[in-house]
Amino acid sequence: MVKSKNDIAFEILVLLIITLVGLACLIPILFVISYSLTPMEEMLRNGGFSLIPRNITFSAYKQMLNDPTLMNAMKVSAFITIVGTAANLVVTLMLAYPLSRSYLPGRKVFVQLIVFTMIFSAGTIPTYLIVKATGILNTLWALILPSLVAVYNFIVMKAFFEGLPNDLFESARIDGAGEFKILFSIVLPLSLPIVTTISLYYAVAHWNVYTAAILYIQDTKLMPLQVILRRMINSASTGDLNIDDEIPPETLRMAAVCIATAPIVIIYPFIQKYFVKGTLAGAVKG
Amino acid sequence: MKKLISLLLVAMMALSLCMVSASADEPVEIEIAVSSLGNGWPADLKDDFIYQKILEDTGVSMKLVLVDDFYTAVNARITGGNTPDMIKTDVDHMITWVRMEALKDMTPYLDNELANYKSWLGSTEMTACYVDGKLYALPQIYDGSKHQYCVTIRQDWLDALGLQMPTTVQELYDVAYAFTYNDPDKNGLNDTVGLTATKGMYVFDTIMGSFDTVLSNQIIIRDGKVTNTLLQPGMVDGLKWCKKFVDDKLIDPDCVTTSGADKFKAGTVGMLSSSWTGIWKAYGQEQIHNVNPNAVTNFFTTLKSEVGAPDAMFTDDLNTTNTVYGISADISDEKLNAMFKLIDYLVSDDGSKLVFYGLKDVHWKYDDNGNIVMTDRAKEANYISTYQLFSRKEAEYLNVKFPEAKKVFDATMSANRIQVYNSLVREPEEMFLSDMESYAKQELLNFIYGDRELTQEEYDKFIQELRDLYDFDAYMEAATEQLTAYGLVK
Repeated sequence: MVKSKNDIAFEILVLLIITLVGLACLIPILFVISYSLTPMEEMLRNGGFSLIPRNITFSAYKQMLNDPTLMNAMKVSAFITIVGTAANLVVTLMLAYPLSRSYLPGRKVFVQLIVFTMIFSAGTIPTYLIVKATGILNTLWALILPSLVAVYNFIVMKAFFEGLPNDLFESARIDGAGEFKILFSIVLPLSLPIVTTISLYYAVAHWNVYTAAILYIQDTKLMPLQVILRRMINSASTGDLNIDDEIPPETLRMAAVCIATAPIVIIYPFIQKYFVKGTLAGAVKG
Repeated sequence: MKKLISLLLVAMMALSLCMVSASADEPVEIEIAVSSLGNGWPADLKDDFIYQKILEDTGVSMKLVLVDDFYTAVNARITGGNTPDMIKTDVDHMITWVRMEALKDMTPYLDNELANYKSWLGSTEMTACYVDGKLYALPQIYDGSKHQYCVTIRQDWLDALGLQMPTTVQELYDVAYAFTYNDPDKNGLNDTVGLTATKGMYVFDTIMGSFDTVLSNQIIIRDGKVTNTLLQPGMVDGLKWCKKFVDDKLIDPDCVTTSGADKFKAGTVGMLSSSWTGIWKAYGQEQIHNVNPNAVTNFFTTLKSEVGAPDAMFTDDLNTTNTVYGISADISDEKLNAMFKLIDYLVSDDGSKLVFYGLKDVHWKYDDNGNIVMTDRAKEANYISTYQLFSRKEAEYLNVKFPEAKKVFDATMSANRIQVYNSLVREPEEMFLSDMESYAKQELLNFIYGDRELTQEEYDKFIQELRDLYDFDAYMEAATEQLTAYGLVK
């Protein structure tokens, strides 16, 4: 097909807009990376802006990676992300599968009760009291157990299971499979896209956990990455008693941002294809 | 696989529950919730030599715990019945928590267990900590911050342009003008600005000081009567000067919202209104010289008054109590006694030197004349300021810690300020003081930036708006009443 002039102009326009949007996303990231690599004096000389560093220094990274607090926070975040996501998946799966079966008596009541909690949550203080009474205050379980099931994820998963052809279940049952056998040998392999998607939702939520941590955790050694990161970025002090403080150079903070974002940035491309597929599956059937 | 995971989960849960239950025989632990810690705070208690030394000397485990999103988290803990043993806060929040019955009444202990603390403070400025006649918090008396402000100026620029240090608003204008338009750095580019500041309105307060006022709501006493900086007769003239500076583009356009310190260090601005600490400490000077090896900095603290008042710039609040320590109402007797022991230690000679300077003969030592000098390892003790719970002998402290900046802090500490009384005044309960202050700030900026006509009539109208919309009169009445009760006016 021959393209008319209008078409070409249109395509150029689209390309231009996409390039602009792309740059708008890219430049801040580039700025942060460049800042983290540029010596502070160089930055001051450039008026605080440089996209391509001329002199590169890794001193900020060296200092950051030698800082036990940040490394420890990384470990804590990795732990709650891995263990937390695994726990989330097991529980959400075990909840969503039975409630997706139409022959389960009283299932509507259960679903309604669960959805109710999505619309009306208990609030900070009652939740705090429950966490305290459970005895998990100031442990990592306080970051995992209270958020075991996200109702939205549960609904997406349940909808996906409901969309699976009924014949599959019937034939499995005829072959003598029990409910657990059906769940783990038939439903689970068929549901990989949705499981990956929901894992990613959960994992990102755990990686980014902040409010729960500041409420339930008091020990710095148990603080996840986001809290530590905020402390680093906020650590500029003004006058007052702390005149001894030397504000860490901006480069250090930028390096901290880069280090903290790196794991997620590295993982994303590998699971992206499942992510798109899974989100769509949930959306269409849901 | 799934079985394994769930088994693992249960096992770990059991393990962590075991870890929660504390074992006996440990030193009494006092948890002090704070909203910030010194930079470079050790990640591990065993690296925290101050903590270890306090533990060794008193047997008390003094744990400073950083709480992020401070008031959300602390409120949750108070309502959840898990109040920290001690909370570092301000007077407003202290009052809220007193109403929630979360803080302990310290009045009975003041003359007994806290007698040393009381004499250490050496003043009776605890007024702000009393609610209904009872002392509900221990103040940190600190008179340093109000004395930190000055205007730092590039002496080499003045010399290059053949100018003198400014002493009046007109001279400040001339210098700022020359710094902006006469290429003070001789690089052939029109890339410099006259004046900037580190914090909001301070850039304008540099000018307003000559008119015996500042651009914010401050309670002052003039001719034996309680009044407000916003009501000062020199206000409109001062604003006109500010507008002139802005109209001629002599003021860094970003400095009302972001700090101009980096621009000053980078050598694009010639004058900086700020605390001396960021610029005059060895570290700040080093940054400046790394960028401009020829830079020479100088400073001034006041300009001549245009209205016949004493020369003054910036404010000085009479009451220096802005940080207070509240103690949990649920604290056990054992912990309370440990806390008194701790407080006694912190105000003792040994304890106070420890939290000011670090370990003796490691971070500091006595020189031949018996003066304290810091050693090469002093930098390791930079983080410890959060341990300085109570007052500090500021002049001595600065002399020991920052001898390089002596001429500046000597000048800023003795400089004349506009005496204000805000921290002694509690606004009427139905009033939203912060709303009024942000409205006033916005309108004052409108006057300066030409969005509102700058005439006496229009300014009077602005004051009338404060009266009509924000209960300004009720606030001033409350101020008069309270300051009269303190005996400051008759």
